[in-house]
Amino acid sequence: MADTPVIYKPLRGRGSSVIARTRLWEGPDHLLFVTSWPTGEGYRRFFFRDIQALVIRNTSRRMWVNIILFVLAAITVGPILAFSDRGSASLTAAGIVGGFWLLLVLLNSLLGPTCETHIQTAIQTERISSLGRLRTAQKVLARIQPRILAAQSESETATLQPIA
Amino acid sequence: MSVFPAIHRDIGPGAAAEKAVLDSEATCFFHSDKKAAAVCDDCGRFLCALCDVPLAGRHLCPRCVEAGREKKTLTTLETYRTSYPSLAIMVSIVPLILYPLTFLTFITAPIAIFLVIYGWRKPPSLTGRKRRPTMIAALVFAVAQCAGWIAVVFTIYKGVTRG
Repeated sequence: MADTPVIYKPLRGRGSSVIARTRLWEGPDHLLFVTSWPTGEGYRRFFFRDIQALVIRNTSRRMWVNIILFVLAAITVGPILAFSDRGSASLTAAGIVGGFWLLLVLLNSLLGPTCETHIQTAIQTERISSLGRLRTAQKVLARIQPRILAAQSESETATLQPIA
Repeated sequence: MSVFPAIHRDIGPGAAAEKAVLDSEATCFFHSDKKAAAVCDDCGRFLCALCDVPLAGRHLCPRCVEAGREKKTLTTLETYRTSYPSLAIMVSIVPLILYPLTFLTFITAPIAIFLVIYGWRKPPSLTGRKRRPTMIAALVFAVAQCAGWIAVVFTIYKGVTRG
């Protein structure tokens, strides 16, 4: 006998690395953390009744990404200015290249502060890489917190019920 | 940091099966000396508290859990699903992008067609994404590559027979 199909709703936030993408989905009684590779999808479930803590920790990733982008801007724009006649064509080229990097810096800054999010249960602590921005993590937390509390108050009531 | 009441819950030992005392008492299918505490929702066997596996709101026996895991009928136990659309599109496109390896499409295009046919009726992602357009795109690419190879072979054959 097969399971009844579970309907999942996507939660905010996406994570990505070189070959994998991650996303958190909300199920009826659990969270599903999906890691997508080109060959398939890996699943990890966190049942609301088992979640002990959600830890959101500020990181300095945004600052470091901005520093790297500024360095890349300097590396690419510098030679154009240094080895050209500084005519309108070279200045335009430097402007386009520099503008591209500055646009990425602006985008990274506007996305807000970065963070690391962990879900802790009795047997594991898992990093949720899709929740890498503080604003997104807080919104997701605000959405799932009532569900976790409701599930845990239900299970507490169930264990405390007297046996007839 | 948000802490929830589960942090104070003691995991404790697993459920202990109660010993059957009377002959008239229903006993566990797997342990004839233990009192039945539940019925398997799949096969209907009587189960003691030790053999009862509560899973997604149902009570199952260990054998049904194992069978469900092997046959992939219990989605609650699934930890990985092969993504045939991604595989097919990757196999059909990657050799085209890696220019010196383009000749590999002679092998990869039929593989991509096989993956599309084989994966067409396979269950989609657990999250419900079907990705049929990706499958169709992979099929179109692969068929086009096969057609290209047939044209190349035909042209060479014609050249050889003329010569």
